[in-house]
Amino acid sequence: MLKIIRQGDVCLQSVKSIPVGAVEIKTEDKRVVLAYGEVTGHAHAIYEDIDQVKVWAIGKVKYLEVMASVVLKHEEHTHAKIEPGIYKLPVQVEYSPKELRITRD
Amino acid sequence: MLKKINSLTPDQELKMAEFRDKWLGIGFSCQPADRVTAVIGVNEAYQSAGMEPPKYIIWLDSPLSGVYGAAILANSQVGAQVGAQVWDQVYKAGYGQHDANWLAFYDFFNFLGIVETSKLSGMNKIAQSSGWFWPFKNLCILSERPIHLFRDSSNQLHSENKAALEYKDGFKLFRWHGVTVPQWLIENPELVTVEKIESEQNSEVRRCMMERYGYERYIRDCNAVVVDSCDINHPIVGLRDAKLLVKKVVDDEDIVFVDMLNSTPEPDGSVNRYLIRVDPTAYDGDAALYCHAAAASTWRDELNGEFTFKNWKDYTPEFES
Repeated sequence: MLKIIRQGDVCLQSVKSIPVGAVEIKTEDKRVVLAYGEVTGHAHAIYEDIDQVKVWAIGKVKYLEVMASVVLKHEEHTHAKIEPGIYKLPVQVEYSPKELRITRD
Repeated sequence: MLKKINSLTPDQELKMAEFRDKWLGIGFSCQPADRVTAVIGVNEAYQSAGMEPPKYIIWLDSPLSGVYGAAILANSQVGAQVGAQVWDQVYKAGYGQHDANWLAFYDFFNFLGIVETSKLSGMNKIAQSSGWFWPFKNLCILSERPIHLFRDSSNQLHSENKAALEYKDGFKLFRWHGVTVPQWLIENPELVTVEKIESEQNSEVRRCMMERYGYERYIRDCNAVVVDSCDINHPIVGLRDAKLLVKKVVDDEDIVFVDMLNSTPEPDGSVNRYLIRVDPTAYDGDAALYCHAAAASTWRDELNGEFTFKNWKDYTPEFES
């Protein structure tokens, strides 16, 4: 299993378990979006076998639980295959002295 | 008799948010002054202070007009000394709507039944209906509220293309995320050059100028030093041909960008580069020395959260696109 997968500004870091206290986040009906683009309307999302994934959150930190392998797609990136497992979903942050900002494809 | 309160009920705590919002609305109001209510407030405030209500009321259009007016009244001398006397009037003013910060506190406790705070009733009325004011014996100068006011997401005065705060007599303030900047920087950002940025003495203004110019553009145009670069065959795809660009800045932290290749080529086969600014202090400063550490430092558990990779060497993506 791949431990770290990156697709543009989305990163999946494999972890042992979902932290205690995390709650499941409801996703869209037809796709599971891991990150939305800021202006393009593009998204990093899973479109097939979405019943095989769950998104969890504890505070603002998100996790992805994958029961059977799925494919992560984005309009401008090569598809990424995600094997079953549990992944933390960090955000890519651009530094500035005043505030941090999340980068968006 | 002063009633001491040791704790708040859950209902009272909830009510605090209401008072907060009410007073934020007062402080940021851009409505024309409600002159009738303001004068009632002035009369009450004078009476609370044991004084006769003023015989004369003068309305001016901004705090700036107000300090001039008050300085002229306070001292008939004119000439060189006036500057200091005008400035003096800033401290002698009541701030009307801009007294919201502290009046909110007493207003809330008035609601809880601390009756002594009712002496502020006049001040409350002035704050809710007018801008700055200058109380004199027999006379009170009052001034209008702004005609517009713009803020950023952290509530700092900010506007990208016009004055962030403006009064109807033309008095206005140009602010970039709360920092006072020259008018041209807001209205004519195309006039910013690398030379102007580097000759600016004030580090906060310099930062605003860089933001206006664009940090990416600045780092490309300012002859930043390449302190690290990665091989075109680097095992981490995203770091192939990566560069770490550092620009030393006098009396401010270094500006550090990691310059990377997109891992997925464009449809025409070309590969775009992208720059991300990084925290030069990340990983004990390694982010300002190594591309790999800089790239790792861009990942956080959440926006203001911890670095996802406790050690930058742990950032080793096996698949990248």
